[in-house]
Amino acid sequence: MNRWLLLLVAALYLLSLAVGPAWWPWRLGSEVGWAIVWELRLPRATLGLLIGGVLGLSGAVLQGWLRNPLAEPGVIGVSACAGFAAVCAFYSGLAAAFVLALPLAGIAGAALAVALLMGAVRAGTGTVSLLLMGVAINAIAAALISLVLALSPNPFAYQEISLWLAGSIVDRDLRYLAIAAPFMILGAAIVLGAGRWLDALSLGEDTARSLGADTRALGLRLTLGVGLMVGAATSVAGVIGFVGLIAPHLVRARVDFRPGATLVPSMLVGAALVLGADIVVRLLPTASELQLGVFTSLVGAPFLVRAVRKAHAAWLAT
Amino acid sequence: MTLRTFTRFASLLLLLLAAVPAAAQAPQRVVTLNLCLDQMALRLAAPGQLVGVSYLSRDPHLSVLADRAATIAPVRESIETILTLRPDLVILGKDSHTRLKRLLRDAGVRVLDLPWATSIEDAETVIERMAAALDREDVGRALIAGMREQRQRLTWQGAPLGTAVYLEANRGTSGKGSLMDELLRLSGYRNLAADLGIGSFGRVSLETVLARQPDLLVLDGAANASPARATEFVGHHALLALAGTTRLASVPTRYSICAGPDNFEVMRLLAEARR
Repeated sequence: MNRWLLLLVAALYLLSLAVGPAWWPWRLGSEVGWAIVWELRLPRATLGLLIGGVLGLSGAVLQGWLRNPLAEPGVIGVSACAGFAAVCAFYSGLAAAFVLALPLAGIAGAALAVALLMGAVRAGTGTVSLLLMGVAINAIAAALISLVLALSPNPFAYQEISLWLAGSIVDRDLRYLAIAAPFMILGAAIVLGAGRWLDALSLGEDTARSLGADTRALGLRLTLGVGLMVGAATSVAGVIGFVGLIAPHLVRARVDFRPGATLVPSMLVGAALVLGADIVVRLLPTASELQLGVFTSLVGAPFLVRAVRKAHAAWLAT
Repeated sequence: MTLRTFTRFASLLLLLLAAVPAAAQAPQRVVTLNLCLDQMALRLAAPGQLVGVSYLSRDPHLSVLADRAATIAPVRESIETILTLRPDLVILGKDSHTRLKRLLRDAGVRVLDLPWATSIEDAETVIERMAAALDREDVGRALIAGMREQRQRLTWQGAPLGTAVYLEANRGTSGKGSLMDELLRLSGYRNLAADLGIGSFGRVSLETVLARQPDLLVLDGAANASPARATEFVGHHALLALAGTTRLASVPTRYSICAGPDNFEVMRLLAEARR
């Protein structure tokens, strides 16, 4: 399966480099053509690839770790906390003074949200409690964002942040790619190495410990990994929801429901979803392009409804 | 009702009736509550007549008359702040602040609704009406005459100059029916955003801008001194690819944000970019 997914992602990546309002940009002269492909489409396609990958992977990690099919960075508030931290970095002027402040703040926000969640919700806690915790964290993050915006002297802050939070990877330049990509790749490496232990963890913490897992260290490792991935992704692209929810669901049945085995395919499916969605928003005949996060939410929210109903049915059956 | 209460009531009524036409003639304490109406009121009002303007008018990035606004009380949209200024006339934008207007009327303050101007002609109408309300018709007429003179002087008379596109925060642009559209047309350009089917406010991708290679790129110059996520876009490196073919004009937000007498500074900057 992974080989086919890899081919799909590669094809979508190349397509993403080829699609745009200018289509074949070299007919406009080599300088403009080069600028379009190198400075506009390449960062966009690469960010789509990486952000989709880490969102899919984070969803798979959280779902396996919490043994909860509804866990997802957006739904449980990890993305919102990363967004809040990024907004702080931005409006305090820190991001302008120090380039890495933006991704680092995002990472800190995301890791804090994961730690908060893990402190409040033990693995295996009911689906409903986790979602309620997510509602609470999302609400706190939204309130704090409003607070920062109210303190900002910029009268357009609300408007620009509502646009930014809707999630987009359009017109980010190479600099954004350079500051976020290393953190996303590092986070992915950290959690991919933990796949074996994720299987053990899915049998319960006690069983995992008896199999030789250091559950405490593992928890820290997963928190750091998810924080790095979601934090860096959110700080450059805003909130792109539901990718982390959908991707693991699409692959789970094909890997015999082993959490560790869902990681790599979820990452590839996530990348394919974001690359595909980002190509679709470019092709939709709207006068101004639809925000990527709006599109993934439109497609993903019904998926959440379905997953909730399934989880509810499973809960009734026990 | 006894005779005494009746006479008291009647005298009160008489007093009110006497007060109303006086207030309608020349308001003594005027408050405006919207950046664009502030800009007009600051030009039209007699010394001391304007006692409150919106706090935004103090921001030099948004307001041409920030210095003058700084000598007047800054007002936010709160009924208490407004009432403490004891206004006899509050000027507000039409279709906004509905609740505030009701509260003001309940408190016995005269409220004037003025429409939102999106063109120079609209602005002239608003100026005329505001001048009448302030009992400053002569100043209003002089202001409008000055605007017409500048408009005529700055309107491009030669052959069409090609296409132009305006880029502001968050890839925002101004399309058909917007003030910037009018200013670009008067300056001799066709607005690319209007050609793309974008309405008065929309967004345009940089790739489209590069692909269409406009003759003039109008940037929202230093939109705001405070950190803004959105203005990053205006400085995207890819725009450098247009350096050889496209002229560049940078327009400070304070000249383009409101329809009114400051718009001619935009036209002057566009004309300057042509040289």
